[in-house]
Amino acid sequence: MRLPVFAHTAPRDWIRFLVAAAVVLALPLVFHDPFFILVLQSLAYLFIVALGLDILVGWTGQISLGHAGLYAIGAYTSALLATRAGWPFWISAPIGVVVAGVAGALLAIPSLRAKGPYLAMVTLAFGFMIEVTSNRWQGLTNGPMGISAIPAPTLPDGEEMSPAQYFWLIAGVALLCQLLANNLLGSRVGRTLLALRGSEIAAQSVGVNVYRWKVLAFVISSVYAGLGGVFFAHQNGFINSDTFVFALSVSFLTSVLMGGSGTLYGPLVGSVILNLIPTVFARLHEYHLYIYGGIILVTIIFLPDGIVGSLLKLPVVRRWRRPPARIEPEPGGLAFHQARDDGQPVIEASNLTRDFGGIRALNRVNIAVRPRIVHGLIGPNGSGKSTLVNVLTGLYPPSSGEVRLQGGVLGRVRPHQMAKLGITRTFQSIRLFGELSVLDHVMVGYHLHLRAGIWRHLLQTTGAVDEEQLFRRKAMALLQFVGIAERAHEPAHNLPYGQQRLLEIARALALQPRLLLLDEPAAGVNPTEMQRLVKIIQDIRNGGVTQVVIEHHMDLIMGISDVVSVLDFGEKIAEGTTAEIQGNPKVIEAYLGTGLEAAHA
Amino acid sequence: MRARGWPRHAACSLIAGLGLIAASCALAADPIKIGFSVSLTGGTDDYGKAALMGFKLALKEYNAKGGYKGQPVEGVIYDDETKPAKGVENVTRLITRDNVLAIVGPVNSGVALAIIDIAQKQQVTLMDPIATAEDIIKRYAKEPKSYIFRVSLNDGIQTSFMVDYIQKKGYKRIGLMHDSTGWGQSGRDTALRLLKEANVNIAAGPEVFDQNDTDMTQQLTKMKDGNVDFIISYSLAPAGVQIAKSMQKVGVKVPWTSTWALIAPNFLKLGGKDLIEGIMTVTSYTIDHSENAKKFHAVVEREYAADAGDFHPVATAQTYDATRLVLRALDKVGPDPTRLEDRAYLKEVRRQMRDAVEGIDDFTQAVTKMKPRPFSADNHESLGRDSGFLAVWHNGKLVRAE
Amino acid sequence: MLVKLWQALLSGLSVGSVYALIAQGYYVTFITTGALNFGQGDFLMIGALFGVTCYVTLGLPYAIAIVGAVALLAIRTTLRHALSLSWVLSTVAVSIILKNAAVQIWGPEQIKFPSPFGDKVIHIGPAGIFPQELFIIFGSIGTVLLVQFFLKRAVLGKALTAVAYNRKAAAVMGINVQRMVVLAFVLSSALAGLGGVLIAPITFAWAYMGTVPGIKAFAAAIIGGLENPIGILIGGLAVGVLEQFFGIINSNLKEGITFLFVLLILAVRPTGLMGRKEIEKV
Repeated sequence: MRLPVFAHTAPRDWIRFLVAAAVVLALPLVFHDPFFILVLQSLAYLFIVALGLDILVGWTGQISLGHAGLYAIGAYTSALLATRAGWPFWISAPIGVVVAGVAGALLAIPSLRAKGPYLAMVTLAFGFMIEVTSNRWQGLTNGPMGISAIPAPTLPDGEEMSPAQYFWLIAGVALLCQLLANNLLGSRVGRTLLALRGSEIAAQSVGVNVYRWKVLAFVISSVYAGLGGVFFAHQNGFINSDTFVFALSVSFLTSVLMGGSGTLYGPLVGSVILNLIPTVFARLHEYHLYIYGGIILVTIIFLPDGIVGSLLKLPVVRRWRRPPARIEPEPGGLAFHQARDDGQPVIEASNLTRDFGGIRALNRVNIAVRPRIVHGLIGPNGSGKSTLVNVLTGLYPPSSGEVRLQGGVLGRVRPHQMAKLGITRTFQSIRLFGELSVLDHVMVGYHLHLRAGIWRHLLQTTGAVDEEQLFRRKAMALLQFVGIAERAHEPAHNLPYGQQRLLEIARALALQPRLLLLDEPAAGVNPTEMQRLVKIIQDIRNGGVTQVVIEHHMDLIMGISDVVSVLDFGEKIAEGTTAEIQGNPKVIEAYLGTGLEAAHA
Repeated sequence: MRARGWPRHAACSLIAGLGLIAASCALAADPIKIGFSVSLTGGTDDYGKAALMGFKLALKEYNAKGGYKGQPVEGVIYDDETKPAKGVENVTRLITRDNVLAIVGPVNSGVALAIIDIAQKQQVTLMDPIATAEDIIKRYAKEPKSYIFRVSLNDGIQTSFMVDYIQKKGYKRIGLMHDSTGWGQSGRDTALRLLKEANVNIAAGPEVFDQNDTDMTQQLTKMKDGNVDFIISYSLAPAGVQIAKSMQKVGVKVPWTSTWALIAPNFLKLGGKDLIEGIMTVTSYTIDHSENAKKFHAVVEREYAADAGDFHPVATAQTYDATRLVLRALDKVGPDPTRLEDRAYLKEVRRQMRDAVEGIDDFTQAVTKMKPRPFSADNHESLGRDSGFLAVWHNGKLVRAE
Repeated sequence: MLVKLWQALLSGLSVGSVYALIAQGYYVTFITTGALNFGQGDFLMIGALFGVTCYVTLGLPYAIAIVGAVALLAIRTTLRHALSLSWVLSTVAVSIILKNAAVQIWGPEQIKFPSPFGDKVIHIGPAGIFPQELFIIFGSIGTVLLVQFFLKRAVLGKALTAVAYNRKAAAVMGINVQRMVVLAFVLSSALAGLGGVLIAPITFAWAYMGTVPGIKAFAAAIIGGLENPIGILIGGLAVGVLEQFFGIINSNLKEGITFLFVLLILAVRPTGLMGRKEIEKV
């Protein structure tokens, strides 16, 4: 019997959830002292914030040093509505959460083009702006004098919730948040976030709108932060501008990193431990800060992946985890897009020019790629081959000239949009998605074909689960096609170099492209693997897909290409059949060699 | 310089800590406990540490004289890190876990505003030794039984000295500046209110600055533009020095005052007696204003010889008196320590403590300028208009402003 | 009004040049390791406090205090490692410990650091400035230029820059990458420490003095563009002056304006005003 939602949750997981719920229920009954309950409440909502922040930091790889600002927005919104407008908690709280989410979106949309330290600074600046605004805009927030008499939530019978009941509310919500996060992160959503964390460029090439996903992750983390802020305001009864300081943002981040970013339970462990330390050592009022700093320092030195992260890496734990079930490849799962042959070239570069500062990498290049062939692209190092591929796949706009797709002129199109149009590629230097398994790499390749969206995965509907299973079988078929099916569940970076290249091809094929550009697929590959590569390219062509192959291995190119174009110093100097090219004096001159492959570094 | 004091300081703390642990283990019944929560780290930690000295000294003397019914009273000390949420946690812990009979603290006005609600609701006496925002006492002043008491000159009273002086001297164009903390902002509100009541014109400001700002030239230029003849500034000692320095840069030469923040010895040390010459401040206590004060000062110097001259005399004195008031109430109520486990009894004792504090009328050994009867049912401010005055720095010493 | 602007400019340059100095430290660390040493602010603080001990307690001449602070920091920074996101954690932890150690040793209060140049205001036109502030401006800018000279001309400096551009290639050329990374941290900490000694006579030496300048310097580095040293210098000065200018309009704006500018600039140019546009080789 399967549930319509939470369809993939195993009985074990349900048991874990029930045990957790039982613990939550029991805690205030065992520790019934108001002080302990106060501490438990704090642990619960600080955990919620950490969970959301981990989705952003651990899974998406974006740093935020300003989450105290979003926490503040949630807190102030609910507090103001409750005290000034007299609205009950049950209305003011959700509004507070929504406002925090909107604020997160408003911040993310213009800012997420910044990366790394720049993004850190943006979030830092945001956090400070909120801090300063809450201090100076006294008309709204009452500055450091703060907002007091914020009521606890009331029950239907009109009574205010007791501290224990409030704890159950917070912890219950926290449990739900963890459950939903587990669903989300265990599904294609988590996979996509990890993919874009691993390589934004590779993710874009299979159709992931990286920017939108980053904004999504930021908004999710903002919602969680706002939720934490709301609970905080109604717990304390008093909030003021002295609370939402930079140090708070730092402590949120610290709790995520200490627990282990990018794990499912890291935020829980990290936030509970970090927030308990001051309480436990409060009596040592002289030294408690030393202890706090010391524990953090020790954790980084000995457990650089965080507590949970390091635990997961222990061989003991790894052996304990169930090996993934065997997946049967889907018969007929190997679907190739049949490129239309209507006389038009699939893709055409028309007078294409690309400059980088003072360097002209492409100079009025004209190339037309006919459907269902292998179009080779060769030239000495630095001749512009990769640049051409980059322009054709939307990574760089042309400085002048046009790209035409099936006859129609393309305007400025980004890589993920090119993927939607059926064009993808592999990379000269392999770009994999971090620790994702081989199978998961191909699953990311299916990004545009998977229909179930974030809401269905949040709830884990049967539809979403079934779709996943189906595509996993298709992915196995693809892996079988390129010959690495037996390593499906291993982390991709464990694969030998040659097999990583094959994986990139499998990933690209998952898109079911009509045009596949392969950038030096044979680089660093041994002769056996080379043979397999040749067969794969031929099979792809026979399947109906158009390919453009950049290579330095002359045997490979001359063996498989139907047409070869030669670039030198950004210009096309020759084009024709392999025989014509091999005999062309200009080509020979460009290479200073005949048929000898230039050893690739 | 602190450098030479710290090994000894650390050793003392360690021994004291061990001693405390040992002492608490040796007791048969639960000792009587008095809670203490102030900023020992964070923005106002210098006041917190000075307060801690006063608290410890008061307990030490009390216990040296035999303690409560022969047993030492224990002080439970927590750091609120100048964070309101931490203050809330500490106070809750003191009330529900540590079962204290009363609490002394805090130092920071922002933290105070967060914790008074809890103290009042839980009916536990809160004795504020330092935080000066008016609202701290005002909020529950109208209640039949308010649990919040103060041993400090609140902002309203301090500002009234300034306004009196302004009226006496006939200053007509006042400039107002303040820092961005809770104390500075509430001070600004107080000043605006009192100046309006006195019909005195504000010619420039209110201008705000960050307490750690190093350059106030912009704000002072506006004072200059406004042609002010006197400036009121809510600034702590470091900011006060920066204001004086910026005044030199901009060429503003009017008299100005802040609240008691500028009596801190650090003001003299950071500024040097020439720079701060003529700057005014409010004080409730000078080292020699009474016999009690002189003796107290001698004791503090001896006890904290390692930090001699580095402590903040008024903060320590106020906390010392505040703690002794609580201990006096303890003696008056005379609870049975063996019954304190019973929460109903504990609650009743705490209520009686409040009444006892309010009713003290024989406290003649104050080192601050409070009366023998410091409180009453409608007054929980032990230091009032007759407990302080405007003083001026002259040749590195504080003298009354004339 | 002109008087206000002129005063704002002078005061702003003084404060801004310190931001520029600290920001150079971020630059040095970033280009070699790709990580940011958020502890810059605290090294500033240690430099200042140590400088106080040298100059005030031990009565050493100012120049030796500067060198002493720098040397101390050079020794202190050997325990850094920059691994992905761990640098945030390690800087947080070290920052907490440094601050508390400072409070334990020097106490929580501000300490006076008398200026070796005296306290008499110098009047440049209608505006006033302390001789120490002038020294800060010239000292900071001079140090920044010196560091740039070192990085571009001296062999050791070039080695550092080489590591920044391409670690593997530098290693292959015989450069000890690990040592260069340590050198980078040492250099950036030393710059911060120097900043501390320079500004302490104006700002007082104090355990918590480092946080805000550290962050503002970071903002300056980002505004200028982390990989452009001249951009950073200009960014630092600009931040200092901007704060003062906006203080003229409304003193409430002074605090937030830097951060507002950061948000606006980075929304439009995600790599900073003068940062190099990211062209990744694909």
